[in-house]
Amino acid sequence: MSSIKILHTADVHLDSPLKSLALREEGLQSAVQTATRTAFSKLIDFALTEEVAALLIAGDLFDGAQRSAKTGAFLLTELDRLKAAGIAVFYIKGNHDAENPVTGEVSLPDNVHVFDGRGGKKQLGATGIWIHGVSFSGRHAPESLLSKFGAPEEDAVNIAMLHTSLAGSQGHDTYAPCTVSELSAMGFDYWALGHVHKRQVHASAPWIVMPGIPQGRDIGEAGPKSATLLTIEERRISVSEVPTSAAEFCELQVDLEGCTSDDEVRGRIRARLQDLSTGLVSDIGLLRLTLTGSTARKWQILRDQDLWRETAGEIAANTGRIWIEKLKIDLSDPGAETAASSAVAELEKLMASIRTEPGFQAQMSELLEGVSAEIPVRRRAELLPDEAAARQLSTDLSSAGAQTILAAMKGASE
Amino acid sequence: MRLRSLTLDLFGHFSAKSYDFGDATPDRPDFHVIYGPNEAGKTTSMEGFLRLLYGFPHIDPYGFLHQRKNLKVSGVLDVNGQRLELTRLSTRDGSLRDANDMILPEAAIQAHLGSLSETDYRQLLCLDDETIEKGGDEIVASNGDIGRLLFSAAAGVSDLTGVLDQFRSKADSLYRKRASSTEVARLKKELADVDQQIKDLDIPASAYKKLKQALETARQEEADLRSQRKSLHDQKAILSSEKSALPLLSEIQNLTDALADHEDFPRQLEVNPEDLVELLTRQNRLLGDKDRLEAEIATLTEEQAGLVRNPSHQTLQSELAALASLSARYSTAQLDLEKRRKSLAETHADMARSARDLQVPEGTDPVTLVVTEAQLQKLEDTRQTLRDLTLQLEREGEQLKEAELRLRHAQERQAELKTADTANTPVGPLLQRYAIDSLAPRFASATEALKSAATARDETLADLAMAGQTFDAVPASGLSLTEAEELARAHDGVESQRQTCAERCSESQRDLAALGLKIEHLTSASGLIDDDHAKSARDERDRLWSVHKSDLSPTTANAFEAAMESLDKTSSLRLDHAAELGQLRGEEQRRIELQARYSAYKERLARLEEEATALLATADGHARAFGFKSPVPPKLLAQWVAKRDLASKAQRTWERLSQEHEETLASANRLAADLRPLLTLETGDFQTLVSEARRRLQDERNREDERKSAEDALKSQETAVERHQQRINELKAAKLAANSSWQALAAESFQAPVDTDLLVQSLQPLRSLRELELTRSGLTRQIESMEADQADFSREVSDLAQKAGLRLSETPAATYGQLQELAKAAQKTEDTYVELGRRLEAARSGLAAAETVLREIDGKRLVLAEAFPDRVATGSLQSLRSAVSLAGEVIEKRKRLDDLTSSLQGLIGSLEDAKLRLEDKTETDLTAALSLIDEDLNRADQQLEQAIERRSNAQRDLAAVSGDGEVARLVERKTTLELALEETVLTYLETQYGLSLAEEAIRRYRDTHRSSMMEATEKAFADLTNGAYARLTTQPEGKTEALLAIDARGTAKKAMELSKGTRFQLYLALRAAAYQQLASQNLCLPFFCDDIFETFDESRTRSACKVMSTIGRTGQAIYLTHHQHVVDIAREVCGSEVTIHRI
Repeated sequence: MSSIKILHTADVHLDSPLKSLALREEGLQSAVQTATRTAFSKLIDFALTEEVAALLIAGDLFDGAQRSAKTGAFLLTELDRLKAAGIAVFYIKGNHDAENPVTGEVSLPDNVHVFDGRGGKKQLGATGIWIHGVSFSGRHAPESLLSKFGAPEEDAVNIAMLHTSLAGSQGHDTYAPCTVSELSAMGFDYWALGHVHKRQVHASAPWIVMPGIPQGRDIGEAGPKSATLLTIEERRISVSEVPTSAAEFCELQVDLEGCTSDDEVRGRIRARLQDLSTGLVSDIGLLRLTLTGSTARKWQILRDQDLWRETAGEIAANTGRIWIEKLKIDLSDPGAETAASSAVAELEKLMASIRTEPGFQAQMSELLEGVSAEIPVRRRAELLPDEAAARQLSTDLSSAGAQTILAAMKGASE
Repeated sequence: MRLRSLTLDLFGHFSAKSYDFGDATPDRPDFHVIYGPNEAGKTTSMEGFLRLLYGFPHIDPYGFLHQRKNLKVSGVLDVNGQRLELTRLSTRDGSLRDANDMILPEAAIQAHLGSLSETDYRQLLCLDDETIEKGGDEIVASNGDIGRLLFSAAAGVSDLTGVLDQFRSKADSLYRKRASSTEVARLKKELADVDQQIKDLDIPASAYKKLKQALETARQEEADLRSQRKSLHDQKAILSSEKSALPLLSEIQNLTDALADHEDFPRQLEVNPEDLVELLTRQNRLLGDKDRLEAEIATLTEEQAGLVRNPSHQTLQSELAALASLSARYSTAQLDLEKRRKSLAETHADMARSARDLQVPEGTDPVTLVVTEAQLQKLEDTRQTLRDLTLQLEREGEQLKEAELRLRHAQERQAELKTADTANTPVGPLLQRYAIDSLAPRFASATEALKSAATARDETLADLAMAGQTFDAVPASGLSLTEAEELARAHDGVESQRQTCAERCSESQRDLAALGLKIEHLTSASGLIDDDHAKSARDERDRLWSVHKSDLSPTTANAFEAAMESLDKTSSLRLDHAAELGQLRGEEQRRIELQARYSAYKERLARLEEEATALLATADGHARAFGFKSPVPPKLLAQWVAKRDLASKAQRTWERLSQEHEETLASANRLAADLRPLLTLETGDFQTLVSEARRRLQDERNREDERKSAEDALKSQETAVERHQQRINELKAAKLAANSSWQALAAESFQAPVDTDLLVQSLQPLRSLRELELTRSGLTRQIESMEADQADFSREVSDLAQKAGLRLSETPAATYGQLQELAKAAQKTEDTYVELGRRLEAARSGLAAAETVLREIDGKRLVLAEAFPDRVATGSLQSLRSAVSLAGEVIEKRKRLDDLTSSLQGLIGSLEDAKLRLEDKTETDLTAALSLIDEDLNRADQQLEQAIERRSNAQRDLAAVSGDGEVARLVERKTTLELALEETVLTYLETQYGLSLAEEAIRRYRDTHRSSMMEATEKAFADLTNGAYARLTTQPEGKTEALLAIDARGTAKKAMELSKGTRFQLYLALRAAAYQQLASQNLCLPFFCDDIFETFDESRTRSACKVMSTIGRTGQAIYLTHHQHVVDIAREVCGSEVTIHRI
């Protein structure tokens, strides 16, 4: 038996949009829009080039919120390409697929085998490889689905597909809960898991692999993303990573400690971005940049933050790959102690004390309540889940606002 | 920080100019006045200080003497007890140096300047006429309230309004409730647009299957209709072919019959009948050409034979041409020769005439008289010498005569002067004795001084007139001016006190009356019961109680009860009106006070009136002593006494002058007495006498000068006569010598005897002879040359004539003409002969060509004729053409037959099949069948069209559900917009929070600092104006506040309504307060003023010096001035506490 390759992915979340303010830039829009599609197409391209025997999709092919028939149409086109090359597709439905109507309406081509909620197994062509799988039948699966798996086939390579949050993480619902040791005990050679968006290889004998999302969609899904390639030789399985993400989110802190001139500041940002650009796996990096450290230029930088945002954008543009999605300024001023007698210093103290007064806080809450209604509902729910979050936001914003206007005042009196 | 010393190393017009402000001494103000005249460099010094702190501007107006790049200032500063030595260079970088010339960062000085910029420093602490007003106007008139401006000026936060405005407009641009132009509104609108687009473009998954089924149905329907339509088309095609084949078949039959007779005609033709027509035309034209050319050749041959040619005459042409130039010369000579001969004869005659002029003997050849040029020159020179000597001799003779005449005149004048006698006695010695040059001016000034003193005395006496009384002499002094003024002042004082007292008295009286009314009103109007009334009620009750206690009868009880009730009522009323009662008591208390004050005023008034009367009496006593009949008020008396003092002063002046000039006047009188008999004048005053004596002295001097000059003239004329006489003798000897050499020269020059005396008059005849001789020899040569040309020409012509066999004519010119005629005729005959030969040649070659072409045409005809059978006539081009025409028609018909047969094959099949199939069919039957099929087809087409439309609609609907990413892109855009919206709202909140915090903080800061600033300003302003403006206040004006100064009378004035001086004082007060404010923030800086007290009066200048001194107590104050009085006042006010520096 010569070597057989199988590609394993999950959580494609087709047509789920990227969340980044950097996408306001037209140049970036054309480069990374519909990035989940790009990543999926890359995956199919890879399957065709490498002549894999099968593609495993371990749930959440669709995104819960995106219900366009066009998404289905796109999926069909891509799956047809695999069909034309004689590549089989095995697909179990995840929680998002279960809630998405597109999943049911699209009639998939005959090279795609969809496991149902009762579970089942299917041989991969004439090879000695059997694929087992169980789909979610509803949005939630609070109980373990392991009991629905049959026994592995004798004298064969057995691969099992399961959409699960494993033991789950705190604060999140659990989906088809189970533990790594339970999985190990089931007797399968490879567990093709899905659901958790960060890649993780939980075990290698047997293989228990969470491939992660093929395309990160916000700063919470930072870093390069990939699918997992199984190579089966003489019934032995080896595993490697296949990069898929069209763009990756990244965070970077640039320490401006001791910088005394704008040129120095620019120099440091440029050097760090160059490094970042060199190490980037995806074509494009969406960067959240934070300036930290203690520098005498703090107030100037704060005062000219729009300009610095532009400057950082230009430096990033010069790398040809990086786009700034947000610039945060978190600097301290080494000379803060010395110039305490000036009027601005006195104003600074006054502002700090006013901020803590209940009267002003009430005024802030009122304003926040009034204005936050303008934020779209979904964003608002995320931003202000409860009273405490609202209070914290007010405090943070008033601190930043005070710093910004102080910077302008210092600038004006310079 | 204070300035210890400042050095202008190279700055303005200074080089190494230094100011030393020394050490600061505790308890002594650090106040300096720099005094120097205009343009001494005070402002330059102040500017130099600013350069030290802030560096040199790019273009420095103080770089007029030293170059901009060399400018340099340095100084020593005391900073918190440390000594800071600084040098400021005008380099671009590193312009600040320390004592060791090491570069210092700007922060080294900036750290001690608070956050004051150069502009702020100027407007706040370096005041001159411009900055004090500009900065002051900004503080007082700028938009915003004065408290804020004061503190921002003091704190150096100069543009906080700008920052707040900027943040406000930022917040507004992000979000305003219900506004449509904000960023939030824009994003929301965009979001709605994107939502709508998604709605328009997207199709839900459930529709997908339905669309697919619809398409399948439509496709099936369309396929059915297509096959039905196809079978109808097939039937129609068969019927159409049969219908078309019918006429073809009949035409084929006809053509086959027509072609039967022409089987042997050629299958195809090489020639076009039209080509044959052209060939025939050419043949005819060529035959015509041939006949014409033959006739022309005969005519030309005949003409040529008739010509006679003469070759010998042809050569003449060139020989005649060789003679052409000689012929021309011959003709010219023929015309000129006679004229030249005549000129020669005339010249001979002229020469003879010239010889005669020289009076040589008759028959002398004039040529013998011609002299050479050298001889002529020599004669000319000698003759000229002789003539010059004669002329000089004549001139000298005349000059001698004139000199003798002048000598005679001089002798006469001398004699005349001697006879003139000096009849008058000289005055010179007398004038010298009295030293008239010093006496005369002294006399004049003495007279003038006495006159003006007398006038002054008279005027002051006249001024003394008062109340109709005049004075001729100064009245004796009984009262001094000081006493009189003291008296007047005392009276004035008493009088004004009396008036004030009277006013207050009547005021108190008025107040008393008003208070009385008020008390009455309080008591009566509110039913108030005063203390007396209450007391009497209580007394009454007590009394009745004691009555009742002793009696205990119902009557006493009733009386007591009534009294109790009355007291209770009174008490309750008084309780009800406790407030009014309190007021009433207060008012009564005030009435008592007022009453006391009124009495005191009245007493004082009486005393003052007594004093005034006493003073008036004293004044009156003095007036009478001076002789005034009526009483004079003290004030007028004091004025009069002042005038009297003036009068007595004028009197004393006049007396003193009279005494001083007494001696001068006496000398003048004596001189006048001595002069009078000598001059015998009508008037005898001093001035006239002196003037006449001086004129007489001048006359005496003039006469002496005249006599001396007459003597000199006589001597010089005698010498002149002698000199001329001697010169005449010399000239006569020279003339004699010259004459003898002239005679000798004439004798040797001429071969014939010539009269030398005549010759000495003019050498002209000799010159004429020489010129005529030249003309004569020229003419002779010309005549000889012309005669030679004539002879040559005649010889040549006769030779040619002989050769040509021509008889000679009368003149050689005529023969020459005939020879030319002969040559021309011979040439013309030759030309004609050649032309005829050429034409003959052309005609012969044309004929040959025509014959060749004719033979070729006949050859072609023979070739074409071969294609036809012999039975057809082809002998000529004409008959050939008919045969070709017929053959063309036959070929056309054969082709038509072939075409028809092949068409039939296409429609039905072979000719035999066709004949079989169409045997029993007619066109009518076929047409009917076809129209039925057409109807069926139309119907089928319509149905198919509808089916296609249905199918393509279904297809289009399905295509819309393609996998394109448009909706996904829109969703992504929507997500981005939502993020942007969130971000914008947060930015808005941040900005708004910051703004609210800043506004509140600024308000609190302002409140904290405002009152102290206002107080300080108010105090400084009151000090500066010596209490004329004791208070400052602000008044809202719309959104802004105006600063008002309140004067002693309580009138409020805006800054612009104050006089310039007072306004400057207000502005100085603002700076003094700001200085204090800065000092309270531990920022003490040198305070400069550049002559800003110019508009202050003396007492306010004094106060301003005090303010500067006060500033000097906190920090350092430096005042620059060019007014000595300011220096004096500063000294007077501050004594040794001010340091004066002089430039």
